[in-house]
Amino acid sequence: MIGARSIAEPTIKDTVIHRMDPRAKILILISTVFVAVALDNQKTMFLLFLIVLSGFVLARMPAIKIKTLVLLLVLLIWGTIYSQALFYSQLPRTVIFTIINPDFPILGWLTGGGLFVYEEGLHHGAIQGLRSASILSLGLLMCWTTDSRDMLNGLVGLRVPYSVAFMVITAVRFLPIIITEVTTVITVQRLRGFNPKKFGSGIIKTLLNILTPTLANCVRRTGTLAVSVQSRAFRANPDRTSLKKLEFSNLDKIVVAVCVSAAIGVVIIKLVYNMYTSGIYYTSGLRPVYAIAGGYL
Amino acid sequence: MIQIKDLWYTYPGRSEPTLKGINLRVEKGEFVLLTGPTGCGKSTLLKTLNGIIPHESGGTFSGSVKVKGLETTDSNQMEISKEVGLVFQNPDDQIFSTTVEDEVAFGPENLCFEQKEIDKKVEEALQIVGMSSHRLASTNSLSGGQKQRICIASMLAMTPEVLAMDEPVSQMDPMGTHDVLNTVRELNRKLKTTILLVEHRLHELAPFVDRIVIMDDGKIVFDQPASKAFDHIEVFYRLGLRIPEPVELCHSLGIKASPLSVSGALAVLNSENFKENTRISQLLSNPEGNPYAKNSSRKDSIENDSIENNTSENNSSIISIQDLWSGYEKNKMVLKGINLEIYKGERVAVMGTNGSGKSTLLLHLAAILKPDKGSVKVFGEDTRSKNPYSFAGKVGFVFQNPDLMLFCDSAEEETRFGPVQLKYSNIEERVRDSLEAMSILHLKHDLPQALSRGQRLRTAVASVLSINPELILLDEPTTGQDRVNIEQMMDFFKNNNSTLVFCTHDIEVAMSYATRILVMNEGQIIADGKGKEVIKDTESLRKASLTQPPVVEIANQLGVNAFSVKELVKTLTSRSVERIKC
Repeated sequence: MIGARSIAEPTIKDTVIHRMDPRAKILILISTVFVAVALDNQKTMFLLFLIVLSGFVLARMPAIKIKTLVLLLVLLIWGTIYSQALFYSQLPRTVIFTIINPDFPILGWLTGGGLFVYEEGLHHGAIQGLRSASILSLGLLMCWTTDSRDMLNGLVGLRVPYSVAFMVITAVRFLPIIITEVTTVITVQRLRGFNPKKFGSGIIKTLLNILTPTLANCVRRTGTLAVSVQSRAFRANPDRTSLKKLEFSNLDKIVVAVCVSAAIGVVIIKLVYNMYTSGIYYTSGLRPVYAIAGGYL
Repeated sequence: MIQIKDLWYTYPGRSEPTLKGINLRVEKGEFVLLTGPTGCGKSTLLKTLNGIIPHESGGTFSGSVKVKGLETTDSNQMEISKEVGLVFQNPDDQIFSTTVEDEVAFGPENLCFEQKEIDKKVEEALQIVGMSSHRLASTNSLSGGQKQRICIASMLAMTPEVLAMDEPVSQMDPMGTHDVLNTVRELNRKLKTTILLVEHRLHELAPFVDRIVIMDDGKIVFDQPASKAFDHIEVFYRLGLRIPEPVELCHSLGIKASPLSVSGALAVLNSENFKENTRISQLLSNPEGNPYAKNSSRKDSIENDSIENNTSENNSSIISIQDLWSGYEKNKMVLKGINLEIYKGERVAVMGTNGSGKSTLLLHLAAILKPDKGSVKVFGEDTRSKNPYSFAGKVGFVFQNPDLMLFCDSAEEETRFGPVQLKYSNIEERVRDSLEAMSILHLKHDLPQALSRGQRLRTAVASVLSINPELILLDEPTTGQDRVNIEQMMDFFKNNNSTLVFCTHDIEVAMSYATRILVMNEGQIIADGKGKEVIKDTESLRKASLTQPPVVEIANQLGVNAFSVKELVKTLTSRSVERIKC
């Protein structure tokens, strides 16, 4: 019960990652998303992924969170590579393994001409998997190293309307509590003889049994919370002050500058390169740029 | 400050109004206790004060509610919120920040105070509720009582003119309750803050308030100054409300006085003792003339039984704990070296200060938590190698929040769930008996989630009772319950000789129903014994933020050995009779 909750809650420590301004973390995440979407090169993508993972080392994340991250990444990367390898539709494509032969009775017909593993699909899946994994890892790192109120202040600092930021953060804030409640509900039912692991109709029954009290509690809590925050003058004034003042440290400024510049640089280079490859625009003066984009990005 | 005129309110989807023609006037600086049986409409009335009803709730609303001259129906809810601070029953539903400091600062931040002022207000509010040392703590690491203090602090930080509180101390330990109420009283006196407080623990709160208002079935049926309220004691008995022990003592001695404190009772007893000798003797020989005797027959039988039970011994151990260490974080242990044996048929009350590890201990007894060090054996099986499912049917757990236990479409189905899953026989009989035992047979077709909190708790208990587990674990079963509900539930366990372990802050309930009391402090058991032994250990009680029941204090002051009102009355009367003979 506690394990499930501690996975979802931030771990507050005094590390270089934890000390970073939440606005810096949000800007780094946004920059990384642009870079990850723009990149197509496997090696560079893997490098980006490793850089993101190094953040977990710097943040000294507890074992339970590292285990969770590994599990999520393995499922995500393996799932993406496997599905892309099987269903890759671009040409050319090279078959490296046959799962169902086109002549195989019924199944060959059902799969529309057999099922194969394509080499190009594996490469494409690896890029897609690493792209998603990098973004997911950085998102988790941000959530696990930032207190929700700091995150709220960060969003407000980046000009997100306070009400919107409050809603987002409150939803995230209650996630661990809902997880705890779900585990409590399951425990209660197990103590009353119900085995939630049953397959078939048992799973549907389990889900309904879990959803009913959890949702009812959520609805009740939402009502009370809304009234509670309103009775504490929430949105009573157009502006509000804050006990904690956010401050960009020099390190924050450097890291954000590097990340934002890198993101802008990568996006521009890729744009120029794509204009060249699609025949829209070419100039010989940009050859080194084309070479970098083709070779590394 | 508050003026309510002919207020009627019906919740959406209901045909019966919850509030039926309420008229109430509260002056500035008054401290009013609003009490009454579970589901009588107290919380609903509170919600009309800052416009939640009808602005947020919908429903049918008629009549007038004015706060500082502002009609709540015509005013913006934001405006009223600045004047009226509301503290709700369940702290988990109100706290949204991850740190204590942020939670308390939220209100002042919204009111645009300067950073320095916010800091000062946070510090002051936390000091008032005794939580200064937890300023930077995570709100998730706090116990229920500590969270309640934070909720109160977050309102105090805004210094509202009206503070409306719905059972704000229901999960607090007695000393914490006393401290917080003292502080609230001080605020009320110094800043003239108007306080309207809803609470079942009338017997503990009466000494702090100016006025007692009682509601029943949506109406105000009683409204008197606290000093005179207990002159009409029959109203309290009729509505099943708990009466302060000093008042109960005087009334049962036939003394026409209603002292709310121990010192008040002693003063009355000292002045009346000799004068009333003859009268006391008469009352005992003719119990019909004593209103207390007529109304407290059940409690008397409880006390008698309790004495018998306290002397019973049973050697079959069902729980064996050796050097148990457990915590939610590696470097922060909640339980520190617990050693405990619990025997079949025992009713064990686990008491102690907020955050002392009571609930954590209970979770270990149900194998929901695994020890970090040491061993827990339930029915001879080590919980380390078992999961809660292994004890299904043997262990029944009723959580502090009964809502998480209710997932069926009716109270009847809820009660049937366990026996059906465990493939028991006589299912219908079990269902009927359990519902009957919790007095909710008439609600068997109702949706559990739509019942009142007290009824939901009893449904949750019934759902466990239908399994007839060998060990029943209850986490704070008396929270938010009126006297009748508490007695009904605990009587059932007692009459069935259930093995019961329950956490409670209610020393009177523990004394009446437990065969053994464990007192915990900072993760350790500091006292363990029969109620009468533990209650004498004032040092352990003090460490665990517990207080002796008033009647025990009075007995001590009088140099008498008595642990209940009945025992004290008996002793005092026999003394008087002896004096008369002399």
